[in-house]
Amino acid sequence: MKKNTFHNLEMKVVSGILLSLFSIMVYAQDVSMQVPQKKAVELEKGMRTVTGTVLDATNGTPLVGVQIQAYDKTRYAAMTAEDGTFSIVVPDFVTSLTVKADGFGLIISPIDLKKNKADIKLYTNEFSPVYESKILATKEKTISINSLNADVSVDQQIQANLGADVRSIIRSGQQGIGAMFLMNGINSLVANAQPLVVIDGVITDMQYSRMSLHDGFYNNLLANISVGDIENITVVKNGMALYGAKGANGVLLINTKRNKSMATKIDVDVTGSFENAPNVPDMMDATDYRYYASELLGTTGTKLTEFKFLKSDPNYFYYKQYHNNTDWKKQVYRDAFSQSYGINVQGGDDVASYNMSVGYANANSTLNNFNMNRFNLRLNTDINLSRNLDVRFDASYSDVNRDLRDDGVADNINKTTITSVGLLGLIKSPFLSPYQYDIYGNQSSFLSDADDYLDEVIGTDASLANPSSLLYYGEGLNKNNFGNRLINLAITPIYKLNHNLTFREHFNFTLDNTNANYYTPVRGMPSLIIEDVTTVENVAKSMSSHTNTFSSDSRLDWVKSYNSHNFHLTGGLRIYDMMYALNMLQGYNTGNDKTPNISTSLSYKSTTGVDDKSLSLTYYALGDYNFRGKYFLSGGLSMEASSRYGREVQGGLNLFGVAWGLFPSVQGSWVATNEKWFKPNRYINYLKVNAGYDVSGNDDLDCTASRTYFGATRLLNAVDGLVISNIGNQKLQWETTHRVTGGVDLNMLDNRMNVSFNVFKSNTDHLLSLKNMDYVGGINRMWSNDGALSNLGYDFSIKFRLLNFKSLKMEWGGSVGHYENTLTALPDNASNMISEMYGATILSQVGSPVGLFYGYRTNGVYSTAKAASDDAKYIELKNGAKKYFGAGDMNFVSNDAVINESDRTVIGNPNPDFYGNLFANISMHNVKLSAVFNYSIGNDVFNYQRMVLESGSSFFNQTTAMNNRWTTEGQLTDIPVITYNDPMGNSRFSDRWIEDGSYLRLKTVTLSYSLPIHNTYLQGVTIWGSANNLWLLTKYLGSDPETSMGNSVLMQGIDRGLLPQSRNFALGLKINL
Amino acid sequence: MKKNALLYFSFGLLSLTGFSSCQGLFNLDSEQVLFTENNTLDAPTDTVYSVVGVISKMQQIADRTVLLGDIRSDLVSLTPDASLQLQGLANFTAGTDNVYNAPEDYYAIINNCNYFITNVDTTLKKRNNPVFMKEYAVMKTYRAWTYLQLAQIYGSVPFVTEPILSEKQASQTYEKKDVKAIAEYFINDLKPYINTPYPTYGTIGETNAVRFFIPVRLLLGDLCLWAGRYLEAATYYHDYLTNNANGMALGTNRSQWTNSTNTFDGYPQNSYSSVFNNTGSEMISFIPMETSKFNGLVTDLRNVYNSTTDNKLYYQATFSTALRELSKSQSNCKIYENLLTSTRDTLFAPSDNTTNPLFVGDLRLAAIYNHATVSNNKFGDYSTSYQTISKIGTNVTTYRKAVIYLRYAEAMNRAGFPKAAFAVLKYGMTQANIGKYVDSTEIKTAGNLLAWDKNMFTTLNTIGIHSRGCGEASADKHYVIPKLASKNDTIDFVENKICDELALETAFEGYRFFDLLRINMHRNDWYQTTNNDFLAKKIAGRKGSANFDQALYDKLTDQTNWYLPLKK
Repeated sequence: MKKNTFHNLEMKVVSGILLSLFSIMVYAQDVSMQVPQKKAVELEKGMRTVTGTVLDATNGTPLVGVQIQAYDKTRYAAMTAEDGTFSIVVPDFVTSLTVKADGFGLIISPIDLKKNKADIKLYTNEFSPVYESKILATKEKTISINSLNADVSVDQQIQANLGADVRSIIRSGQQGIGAMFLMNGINSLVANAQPLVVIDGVITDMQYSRMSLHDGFYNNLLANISVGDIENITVVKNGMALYGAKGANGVLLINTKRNKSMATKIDVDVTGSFENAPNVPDMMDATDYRYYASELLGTTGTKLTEFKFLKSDPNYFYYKQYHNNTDWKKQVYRDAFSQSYGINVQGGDDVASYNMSVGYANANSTLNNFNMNRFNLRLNTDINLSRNLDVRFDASYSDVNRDLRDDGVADNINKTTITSVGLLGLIKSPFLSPYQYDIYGNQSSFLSDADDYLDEVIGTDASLANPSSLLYYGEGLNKNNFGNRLINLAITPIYKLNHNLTFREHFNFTLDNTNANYYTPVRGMPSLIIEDVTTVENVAKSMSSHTNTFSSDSRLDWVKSYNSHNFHLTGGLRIYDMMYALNMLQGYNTGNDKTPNISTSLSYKSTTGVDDKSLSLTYYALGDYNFRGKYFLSGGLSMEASSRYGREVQGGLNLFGVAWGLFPSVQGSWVATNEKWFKPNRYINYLKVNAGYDVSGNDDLDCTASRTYFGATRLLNAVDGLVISNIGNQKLQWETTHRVTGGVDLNMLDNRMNVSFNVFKSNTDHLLSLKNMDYVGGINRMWSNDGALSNLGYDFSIKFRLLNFKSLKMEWGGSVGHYENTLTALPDNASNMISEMYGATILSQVGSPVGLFYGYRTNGVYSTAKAASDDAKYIELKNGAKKYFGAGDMNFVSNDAVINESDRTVIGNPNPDFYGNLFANISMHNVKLSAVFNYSIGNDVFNYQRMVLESGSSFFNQTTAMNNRWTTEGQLTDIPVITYNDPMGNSRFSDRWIEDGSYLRLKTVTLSYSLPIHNTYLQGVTIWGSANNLWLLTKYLGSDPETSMGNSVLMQGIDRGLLPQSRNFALGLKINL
Repeated sequence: MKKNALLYFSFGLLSLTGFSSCQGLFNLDSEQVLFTENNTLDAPTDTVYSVVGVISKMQQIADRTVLLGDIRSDLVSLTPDASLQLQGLANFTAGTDNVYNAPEDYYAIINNCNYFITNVDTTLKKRNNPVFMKEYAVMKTYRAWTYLQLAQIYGSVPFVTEPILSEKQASQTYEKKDVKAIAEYFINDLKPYINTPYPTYGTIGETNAVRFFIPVRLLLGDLCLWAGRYLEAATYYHDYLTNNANGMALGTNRSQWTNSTNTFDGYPQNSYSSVFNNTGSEMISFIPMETSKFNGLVTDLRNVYNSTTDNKLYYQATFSTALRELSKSQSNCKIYENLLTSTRDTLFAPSDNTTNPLFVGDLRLAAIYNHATVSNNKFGDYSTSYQTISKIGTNVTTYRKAVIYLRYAEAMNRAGFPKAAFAVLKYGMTQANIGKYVDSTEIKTAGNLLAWDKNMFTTLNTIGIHSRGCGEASADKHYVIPKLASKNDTIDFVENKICDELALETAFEGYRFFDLLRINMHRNDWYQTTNNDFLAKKIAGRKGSANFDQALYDKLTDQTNWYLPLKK
């Protein structure tokens, strides 16, 4: 009785409202359905019999034993007979059938409701599925991970397979370095703009903003997970309520493998891969460089007339030392070999089942001594403790170790000592040798010291390290090393309270432990410059950090169907508690390379620490409803409070003394092909339209920005003091994104062609920004929420089964993504924000996309002194004096004669017009071939590396393009005269360095062959080979147009010459036991 | 673990129904920073940190305070290599974007002081001694000193005595006070702490930390002087100089032509430049600056005034023609004793010196100034002109002895004791000199103000300040007060002499513009008239008598142009 009351209540409260909404439609259908039910006398009221055939799409032969089910109503089921026909009795409200058979892909087919018929063609399942078993009101896209690859981390697969859904930029060619991801445009300016990563239902702190000791390196947590352990990845495009204040940048759900079968399965993977040394710029040889250097000497103002390295007498004592022709690239870049091994065991019984994997990978980069190895262990179990209680227990451990050095061109290259091995391999003078000469002029096996051929002219500051020494003497666990250990424990009891109601508690603990050592050797290195302070022999740094994350997600699920009405309601509370602590020690002058450790005897010792703690509490309620598998509605609301917010936020809720952000979302979708008026045909098989509205947040605020605090100072290197370091903004809150989404999914031509199109329009306000504070506070700036931006974009993907013969099948497809980002407001009513980094000036201007390149326009080089003096352009020195441009100088575009900051203009946009992928899959007997291209069109890249390699202002070796520099009056060229220190700023940030970064890359080609073996001991053997980055079409002059030097949106499209991705070939063996 | 989670869950539900508050849950602590609610200033260990913190904030304004006083004055002229920022100061065109215009740095000191003063537990006692009293007085002097600087630079500034700890408080409008109102406020604020001893921190970074603190009496003297309370000002300065157990005699360091010859050639004897040594007795207090940029803020004054590798020898400021002319115009005499004939004579130095053009008149400029031409440097971008001004050290002085004597003279003069004031310049403060050279009415009226202990202040340790550069000023027949029509004329005359002496003695130390400002105010008798001729004429004449800058003069007759503009 009690239960009935409960049901009645539900009917009244929930269904009542929804029923009335759909009542007209329901009645109309009910009336029409009663007409053709004459012969089914034996049928219960409200039921009908649907008949049809199931054919193999390759040759039209009928398929036997195919399972037919009413969509979402598994208890109405049938099988096909030998002639492929079936007859299934389903309730009247069922509008579509789910059809599945071994070896074939799942199909959801509409029922011809007038004829009660459904004829279905099935396609073999060698390619990705067309239908998911569940239709959702929200929009998601899931890819399953292809295990036939040699990738160290899953980022490569995300880029290849989610081309238009996620804009992915692989950071560099270092192994497992990861990618910068952007979803739904750019949704933040200074806070994190990368999507939330949820691994096995747990929000993961990806540590995007954490420091790293080695320049050019990013700790990519995804590299801790073996690609083989990942089952699938889902991109969530709307319905963000569950993620509260963390979902505004989109969500990536990563799920690891769980057991699916009762039989024990063992997979063994062995992979080896070979990567070619990368393509790097062509540098001058010794002869050209000698000309260059001697020409540049003339501009230093030196009064010396003789230089050791310019003497051409072969009998001269120093002749051999300065007359080599070393290709330094070969000293630092190499072909690299990598290998990985993995074993995966799954099985169990009806009480407990498990999926366990162990793996080891040794991945070497094409830069010498940039190696990585990983051990990983994962156990996912599902335990059935009693009839109503299931428990999942998951544990994983991974240990990543890397050998590292600095990579890429540093930010302020003229004021620091160059420690980047890759850069030294380009700029080191080719007339020097990596090895010393003895007094008899024979080359020895001793590595050369830092060069000194310029000491007498411009001092030791210009000395460059011997990169071979840097590699050799910098090697060691206590010298240059990075280690990261990730431990994850999760326990999830799931208790069925009754048939409809389930309580689930997901408790998770993650420990991420990082330690790193950084060391520049004494030998082979010049003195290190501590900017504005002094020079020292070398530096040693040591860092350790750990992140403890505790999360608890408790929820109640209620699932119930009332005939044609289906409900799923969820309510819960998520607690997310994060603690990050870092300690870094640093000191100079270790004495020699045998004592690289941090000790009290070091000079200029310093320490850095971080202690971030944050806690957030999220209550959420989600509801899914569908009517007849035709109309889908889902909504959600979460409220989140966080220790990061101030106490007086606006637009939220103030409850229990804290501020809560409210994040609602609502989605609806309509499967038009399930309508009664739709007549199933071979041209249109499935049409779903969806729309949604989300309010989501970004809570990437500094943990203490909302609070007033004292920070430590040190006086006279002796005593510590406390000063007010921050005046907290009590109004500080999350950034809010309002997003409207819409989309269409269409399957056509007997399900051979699938098209998906999604659009979004979003506005983000309360952008985190540093705002000017009134001077009486004594502090200039404070964090506030001021500023707004908007995004409009779409993604389109198409997949077409081109060939579908019995022995030859081919699938072709592609995707296009596009977004337009517009900054709509900045704090303090400013019209723009200018940032300087890595030689670039970045403009974020109201009315334009964020992060534009802002620099000078050029109009060639003055070929004659007359041309220059006719123009009479000049720069103004610090004291106001004029300095005129002359012959061989750049002609900068300006409205007036003076070239100054007011002449800067937008010279490039790092955002692409389009990006996405193209792919083709071919399957022939046991052989499969797949190819994936990815592309980006219309994005500009600032080639910072080239700016350094072609500035003509220093004694760095230059590219061969610099042979064409201006040298004589009247010479027509686009490369200006070389001048030491570039007093005229010819190499300043200008359109000279902005290039079209469009590219089309053949990212992966994979060929696999499954040996036709099937016996008790051996289930299958697959041999596969793949090639990555085989072919690249681009006009870009640098090594790789795909470049991401940082996680900030303002650093997009700056190429600082990190190790480029290069061609690699892999061979693998997969054995199923 | 599950239990734990359920606990959280039920806790959450409880809070949802309003039984509990979440606020405490979200107040996470940190090991990197100290939240204000935890900085309670009620334990003895809290004393040092706040004071040290404020000193480190003082470092931020040290250079700027000097440059604002010097570059805008009549004593300094910029070289062609001076930055546009400095040019803005010198031309009185600096706007709110000038790097030297950052009032927030002054308010950072004030805010930290305000926090301490408001929150410190002054009742806390240890062994029956108040724990925080010394620091309390120190923080009050720092605050008052900073407000005085602000008022000198900006004219009238928002006056806040409560700590600003929220954005809301920062954006409030605060009542503005000018230098007089600020002086009056802090005279009352500081008076109770006149005898509070300094904290004893011992030696920090090789210096006795006592010199980091600003003496309350001196600050009170300054405040009274700015407020026009001359008699009180003179008393504070006098008491400061004489209350000390040993007395603070000026000393005899000077730059002079040697008395043993009857010629004025070669190099004068120079013990003057050594008074600028931080450890000597001349230096009373200073803002300690870091010695290495690695540790923090190093003074950048050396890159403005001196040739360094950082500025590639291109110094940006040097002495002005006005200072040069002033030095040159001083008469310099020595008492020559001929041992053979046993005759004494007063000899006057010639007004020209062809071999060393700077060695004429007052010798102090020549004593601290060095210039050379450098020829062979391997870098083409280095200057060949090399300058050092030896006054520029590693720390930035706030008070030194000669300045106090000059301020005492200034206050005495305005208080109606011009003869006594002039004695400071010409003879030096000893009982004998006072009895001999100050007229009896002044001695009688001044009372204790002219009491200089005869044992502490003797001719062996005291000279007139003018003698520091002009030989035996006491014997100089040209350096006298002429007979003038009224006492006011005498006071103005002596004030001009004091003003000149301030120039000769304290150039490049950051006092000058503010000295002119104050003297101009005294002449106007506190805004009764608006005659700004005194200041305008001096500064417009910085390029020398032949190059008077009429446009600058016109500009400076408008008082609003004296001050830097405040940001909105």
